[in-house]
Amino acid sequence: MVFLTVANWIRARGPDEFWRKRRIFRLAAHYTGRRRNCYSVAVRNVHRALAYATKARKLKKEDMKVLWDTRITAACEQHNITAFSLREGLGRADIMLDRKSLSDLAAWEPKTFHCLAAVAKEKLNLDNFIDGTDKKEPTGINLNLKDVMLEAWLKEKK
Amino acid sequence: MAMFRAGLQRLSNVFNGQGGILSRLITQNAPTTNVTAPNTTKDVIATCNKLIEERTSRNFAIVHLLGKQWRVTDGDLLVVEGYWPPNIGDKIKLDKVLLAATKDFSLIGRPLVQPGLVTVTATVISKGLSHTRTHFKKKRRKQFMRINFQRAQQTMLRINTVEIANKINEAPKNVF
Repeated sequence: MVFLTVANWIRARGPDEFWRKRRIFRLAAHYTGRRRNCYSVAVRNVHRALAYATKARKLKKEDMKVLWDTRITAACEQHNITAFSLREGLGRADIMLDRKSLSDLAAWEPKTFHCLAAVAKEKLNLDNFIDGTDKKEPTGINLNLKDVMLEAWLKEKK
Repeated sequence: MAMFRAGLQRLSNVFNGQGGILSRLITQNAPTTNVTAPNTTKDVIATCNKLIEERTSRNFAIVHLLGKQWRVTDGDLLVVEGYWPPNIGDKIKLDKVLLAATKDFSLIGRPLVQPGLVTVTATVISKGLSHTRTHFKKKRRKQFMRINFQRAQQTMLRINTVEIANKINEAPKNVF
């Protein structure tokens, strides 16, 4: 189409109807029933799906964070230490592991996580830090801090 | 705890006394009484060094790369997203090691393990773009609709080796 006047150009509704609809139908190809075959229904569903997909990219990251926190909390309960004091202790000891790697260790490397929990608790003991968070009935086994011989290491200033 | 003990039974034979320095903390059986603390520390380090020499098991490490932490082991494939200069075929040493461990002990860095102790080498095997992500916004009854498309740069990395050098607690050389 050739537009000789601007007015016509503004009024034009984009590509030809067939191609405009085809774009939508291609995205709706895997739907069933009228959602797939009837344009007015298909276009609503495709738009909603695309909007969900856009929002979900952010939601996925938030969901992963919640999942990691759940894993860390569960592993902490095993050792009778709260997730808060684990993070606080590791932070004070300059161990900069993030949620992702901590939950990774909690799930797949329990021995290493055990050590980290012991380090955190020992550091808090050395700092005389009192964990004021509400604790549940302890369900795990208390960490055996007798064998942690990191006093010099944890007290050294960086 | 019983299971934990059983898992570490073999270890407890290796270690004379329990304890650790910047290595794994052995917190299982009752500590043996005949070993004094400083000796135990040395023993643990010596044993760890010996274990490294024997190469009994595969190592893993947590490395910091492009603002994210990755748990890597030999032969892993990483996909790094975003702009990153290395090209295909480049061999890279990942220096920011936050934690390294084997089956028997862990090295915990504050925040990094001392330079030169753990070597993580990787090769860039491909560079490309991600799939197209559609950014679609629509407001009902407001005649508002926007659609954009974006693709992020992706770099694929193969982890060649995760090696722990046989010199735990040696004075660190400042490489950086």
